[in-house]
Amino acid sequence: MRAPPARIAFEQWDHRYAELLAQGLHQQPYGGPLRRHLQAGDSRLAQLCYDNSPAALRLWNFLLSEEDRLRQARAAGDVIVGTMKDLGTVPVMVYAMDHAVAFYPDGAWWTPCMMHASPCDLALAAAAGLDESFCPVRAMAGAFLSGRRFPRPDLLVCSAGATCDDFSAIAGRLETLRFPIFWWEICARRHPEAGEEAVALPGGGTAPRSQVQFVAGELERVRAQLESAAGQTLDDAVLARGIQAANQIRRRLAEICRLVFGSKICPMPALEMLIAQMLAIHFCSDRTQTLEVLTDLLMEIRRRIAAGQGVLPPDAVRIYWVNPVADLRAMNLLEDCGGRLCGNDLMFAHATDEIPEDAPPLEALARCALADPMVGPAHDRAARICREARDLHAQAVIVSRIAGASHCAFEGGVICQRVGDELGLPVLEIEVPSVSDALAPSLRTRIEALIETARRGAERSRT
Amino acid sequence: MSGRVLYSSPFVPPEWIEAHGLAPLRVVSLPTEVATGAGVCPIAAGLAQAWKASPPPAGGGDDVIVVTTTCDQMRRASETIEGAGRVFLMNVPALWTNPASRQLYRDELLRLGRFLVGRGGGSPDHGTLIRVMIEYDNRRASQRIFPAVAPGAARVALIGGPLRLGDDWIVRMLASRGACLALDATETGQRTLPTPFEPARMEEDAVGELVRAYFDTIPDAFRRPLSMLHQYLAAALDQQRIQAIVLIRGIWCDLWHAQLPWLRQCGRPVAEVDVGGSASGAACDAARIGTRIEALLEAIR
Repeated sequence: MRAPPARIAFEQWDHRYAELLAQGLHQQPYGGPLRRHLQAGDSRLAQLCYDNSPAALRLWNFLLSEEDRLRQARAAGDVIVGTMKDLGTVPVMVYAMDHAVAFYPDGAWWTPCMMHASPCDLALAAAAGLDESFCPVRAMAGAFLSGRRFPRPDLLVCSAGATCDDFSAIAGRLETLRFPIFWWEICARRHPEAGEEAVALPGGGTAPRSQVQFVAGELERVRAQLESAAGQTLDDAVLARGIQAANQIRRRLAEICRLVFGSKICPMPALEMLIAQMLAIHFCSDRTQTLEVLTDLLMEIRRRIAAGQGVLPPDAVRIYWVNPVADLRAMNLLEDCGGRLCGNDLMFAHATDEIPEDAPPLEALARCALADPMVGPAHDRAARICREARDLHAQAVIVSRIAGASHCAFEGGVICQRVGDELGLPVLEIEVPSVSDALAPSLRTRIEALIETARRGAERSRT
Repeated sequence: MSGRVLYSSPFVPPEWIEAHGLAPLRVVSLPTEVATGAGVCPIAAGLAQAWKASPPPAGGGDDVIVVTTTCDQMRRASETIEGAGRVFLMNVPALWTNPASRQLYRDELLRLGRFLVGRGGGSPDHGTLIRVMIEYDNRRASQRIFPAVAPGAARVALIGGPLRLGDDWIVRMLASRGACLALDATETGQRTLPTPFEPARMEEDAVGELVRAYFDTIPDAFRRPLSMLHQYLAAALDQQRIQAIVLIRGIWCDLWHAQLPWLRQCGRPVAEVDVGGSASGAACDAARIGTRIEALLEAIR
């Protein structure tokens, strides 16, 4: 008999896992009990709450086994490309090739959270001159220096230009520490001027044709580097197939988001949604499995919606969340306070929007790269956030700042003001460090106050 | 328009503005009350403050301001500067080894030119542009000469971001402690002077010569790869026989803060000072920075 959907604590997963095994759980080679990841050092897992479905178990196992996959790729002689900063564009190119995988060393920003009892990466980063004034992505430098998180990539590709200063500074430091980087330029997106040809971007914006051509030219340089590293031809036909495969995943994810965010009763917790969305960036080093993992999740969500079941009370307040959180526990906290996720902007909307298939492949990817909310004006990002929050019937918005991140300083204010002016919704700006336990009481109080305000607002509008 | 064109980045050529018949005015950030705890760069916030505080042009008209993308906070601060249609965000590419980035810089100069024309400027003819370029080049000649150092004085380099209006007390303090500023490699110092124009190149392609002098040669912490900055600093430190380094940066400036480990490998003592707490905290800043510099000078005595 299928267990009703629920959020369960880490300890409960042992029993739940045994139950699923007894019911004939089919698992992939990366499957197994969650506890093994805790034993391997991911100590934060013990403090998180999880969805109790086999689909969620598979999602977590897939996420937490990426380092193994990268090592297997190295052992198999595959080309490993470390793609940095662009979040979603270059991996589409890498996975279009055979025997090549891409991953984001940037992802190491979660290691201080996941391995909070062992701050080794941060200590190494600090010893290399990257102290706590930088955003948590500095853990990436520690990961490179320790060599323990991932194999040293055959090629490192990093975007420069319209990027956050933290990342640019850390990547620059890495290069001086003898990790050669192939840089490509991403220009700051601007609005087309009078008389300039405008090109539509995924997600609804536009950019001048000249900027699209510039970025396409940069991606052409990236293509040449990838071809050279992999000893393969990455022609337009191969790229087009890669784009189609990426779009299949993006469509699947879009369907998951549409169902979860639109459903009356929340069928999937915020934490699992965050992880699922993260898969879109680089497919967690296995594009085929990413599609299967998301398909499993989608089927579970559909089942729950059809059965009128969910993981949260029907009156949970609908919150639109801005920015990824360095501490995954914050997603649990939102729900513990009576909220539910009804939409989000995790800084990589361009990695989840469909890539145009009616344009030459490099131009299509250039349009995606330029749609990156972080390379354009904060007002553009705020406008999209407002549009989505309105369409998804958000009752409040939380802007989650990233400690030390250069973009948060001015951007948060722009977003908060626009949400307030345009939507009249309560909005809260918080900062979530990698391990937020010490701030948990204060964060809880503030989120609860926001949710209370949103509830009162909803009651007033009903009467 | 008879207003001025304000700018702060060394990558904005003032001769290009003047050749359009407008008055360039380099502004430096003002000390400002900013919430540094919230991660706001005081240099970027100070530019917005300086724009707000700038008195109206004597001849009437509207000022405009040119902000660059040379750092994330400055790029984003440009959105908070009040004055619709009077703020121009110029894309200054980071990659100095990439021909396409170089072309983008040139295209941005031309776009800036169109903006200036739209604000009442005139398209410069070839002769005017060259004349203005030569005038500016001549004026800069004296700035390229390294300052004289008194015999026996400790030779100190100031490296980093811009000195804000009023931050020159640091230089005076160095002098009062028996040290001499032998190299000003801040954003407002010699490091960011464009290389002298070459007459033949200027005659052939004046805009191209602006690109060469500015984009090809000004080293900075935002540029990638960093080798241009490091080669410049290594050579300048040796040439000026620098004994100690003061790395000066705005609070939260990641780009310059990340240069500290490299500077420490240069074989000279380094003191890092962060400026820009707030105008009201200036006395506190002075005491804190003074102690650090004092300790630095002790190390080389």
